[in-house]
Amino acid sequence: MSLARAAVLATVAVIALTTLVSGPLVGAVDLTTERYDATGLGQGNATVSAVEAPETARLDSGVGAAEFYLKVPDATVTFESITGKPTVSYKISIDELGYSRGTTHFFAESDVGLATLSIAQDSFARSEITAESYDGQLSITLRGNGTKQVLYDEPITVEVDR
Amino acid sequence: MSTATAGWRRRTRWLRQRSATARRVCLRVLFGDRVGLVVFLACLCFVGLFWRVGTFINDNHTLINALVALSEGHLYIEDPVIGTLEAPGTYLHDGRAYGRNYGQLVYTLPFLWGIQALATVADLGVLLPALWSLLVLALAVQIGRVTDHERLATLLGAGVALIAFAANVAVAHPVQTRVVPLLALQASAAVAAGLTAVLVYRLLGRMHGTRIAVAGGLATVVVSPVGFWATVPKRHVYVVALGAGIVYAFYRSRHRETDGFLSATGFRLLAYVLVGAATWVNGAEGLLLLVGLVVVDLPTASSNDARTLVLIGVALTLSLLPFFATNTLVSGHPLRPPEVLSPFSYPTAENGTAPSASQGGPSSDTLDPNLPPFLGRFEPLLVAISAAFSRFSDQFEHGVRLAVTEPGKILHTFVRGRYVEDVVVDDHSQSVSLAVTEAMPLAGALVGLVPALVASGRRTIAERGQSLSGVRGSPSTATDGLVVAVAILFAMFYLPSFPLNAQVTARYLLILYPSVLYGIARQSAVRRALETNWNRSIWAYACGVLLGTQLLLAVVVGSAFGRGQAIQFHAWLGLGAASLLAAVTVGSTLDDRFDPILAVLLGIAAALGTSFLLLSGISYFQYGQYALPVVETISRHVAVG
Repeated sequence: MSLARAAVLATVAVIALTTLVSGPLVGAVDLTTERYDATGLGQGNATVSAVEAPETARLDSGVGAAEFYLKVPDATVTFESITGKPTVSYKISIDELGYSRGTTHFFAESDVGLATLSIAQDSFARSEITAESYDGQLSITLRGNGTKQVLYDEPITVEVDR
Repeated sequence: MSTATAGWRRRTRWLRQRSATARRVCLRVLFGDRVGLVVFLACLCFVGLFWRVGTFINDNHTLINALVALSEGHLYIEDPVIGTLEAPGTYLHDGRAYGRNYGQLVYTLPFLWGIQALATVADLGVLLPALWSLLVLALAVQIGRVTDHERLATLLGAGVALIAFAANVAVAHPVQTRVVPLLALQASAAVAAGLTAVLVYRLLGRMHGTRIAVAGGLATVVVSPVGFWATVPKRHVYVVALGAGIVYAFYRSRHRETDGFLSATGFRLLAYVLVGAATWVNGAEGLLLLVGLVVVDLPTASSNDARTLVLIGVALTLSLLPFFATNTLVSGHPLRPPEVLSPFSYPTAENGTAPSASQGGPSSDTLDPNLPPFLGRFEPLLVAISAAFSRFSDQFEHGVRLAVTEPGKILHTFVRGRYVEDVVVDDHSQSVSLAVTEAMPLAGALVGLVPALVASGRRTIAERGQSLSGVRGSPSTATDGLVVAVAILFAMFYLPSFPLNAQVTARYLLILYPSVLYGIARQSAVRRALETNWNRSIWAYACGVLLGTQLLLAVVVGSAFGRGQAIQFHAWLGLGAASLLAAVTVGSTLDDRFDPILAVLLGIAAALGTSFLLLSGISYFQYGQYALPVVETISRHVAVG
């Protein structure tokens, strides 16, 4: 048997056997891991020593695109200690646009120190954005063991960049 | 040796010979030759890179639900397995919900059974990377055979396949078995896209040799937006594949060769049979293909004797039987496809307790009262046919009128899209619609047809006229006519629909992309530039894909572009490349000193197309989970909002 032929057979055998052995019929081993370990989420607590959040955000159109994207700079939180799996939500709301968006971040004990929070971009059709700037509210909230602690809650100016 | 062993040996040898023959026949019928198989496998490997196990548009739900219903042995949808019955494309008749595109669903059934069978022994999260690795291995083995570097290619392929499999399994996530119907639709679409590439390869191979053919075939999936829709459960790639099949069969029908499995007339009939199959996928698009084929086939055929015409009629009618059958089962009328029924809606306080009755069906047009009496018995059928044709011709006429009165619409559909508030609002406030040239910058090279046609027109006049007999004598010219006719029919039919949301790459016009590639490959200046500068072209393409894609991604992620901004960035770059390419193609048509630049620009424009497909798949449009977990891991770091 030539080397090339042996390589083909060996490769097919390895791939097929691995697939079979980890499959539901044989089930000798489970090779897949759940995307997120959701156990105990929101259970736990943290002490925070510093919070930094932006004072302005931008509504920005760009190359060729005429709609606006809301770009909120990242905030940072410094954890002194973490127990369990607390969550931190980072949220912006703009009443004038009837809009709010928050992103919940999950933390575990290994995340002690500086952590970055971000908000995913949302887009607005051109006709929705009529003013030159909007007043928004930016908040950061820590949740754990059924309690809620507001770490930051300040106004933010949203500038429209046409 | 006992006689029993000898008999067993004889039987296995016989079996081996039979299976080798069967494989040879399969290879020839499906792929033409081994190079065709390489094109096919390469396209599937490419598409697998950004195969997302998820639904892209909510009308995907309709097809998934209808496929499950079909696999249970009925056409009506009982309980939706995904989404709701109000998904677009779910129709109502006599209180029951139905899907559409039944031809596509029936073709997908074997894929469903295959994946269901595999899912009983394999974890889907491991199975998908396993299948991809096996495809890579098969591709390497076949490339080795074609290029006479069997050992090197096979060893490399085995290495890549194993490493990719190990890496994917290391980060694999579970895939729920309830996505099996979705996987089946995606797999069947990917195979249809791969076969489209093979048909383009086979057609161009017979016209212009292997190299041009491989380039054109691969470009169909790897460069053009056919690759974008190759794993989306929608009708488009199936109709494009059947369209390519029709063109190929038509071309073969113009040759009197003895090497094929079918005679020239056989291929002519095959073209009409494929029209029937396309009609089963989508009635209107089947009609477009039929009109295109009839308009070009009848005037250019070497003979239209009564026997052939009857055979064509019989072939077409037989191929339409499945379409008539599912229509009858759904709406009670063979010529009333699901698309003309009313959309399903759940009962509300206003419309009573039961789902409302069907309002659709053929319009109340009646035929000319002076109809010969013997035709009277067929009147319901004729009314339905004439209604279908009049609906069809109305929209077509509307398109042609728009093309004349609103040339801006042509510009915005084919060259540069524009911001249309209503469309953008429906696309989650993101301008993600591209015009044809923006979606495939290579289309710029089509402009070279203008000077080429002018030159050949002059020659024709100098040779004192070339009539239909000339076209009849040239299979290639007749095929050009068919491609142009089909492209114009689709363009005019769908023009009134644009601008429209959820199109991204003008998907209604998907058949135009392989047609444009064909139009580029048919230009002698382009072929000359490529044939004398292959290395330049390939280097330009490779650098464009390997370096250019990363550069584009760095700009998009670095500048925190939104999805619409990223896509418009591609649009502008594509338009720039397309304009340069157009100018240089014209230059090359007039003077061959432009050839080296043309070769480089063709490579760059093609690379922009590939980059768009890769980045759309990995960064801009993330949904569901990736078939290859490693790609999913990468995609998390390059998401664009």
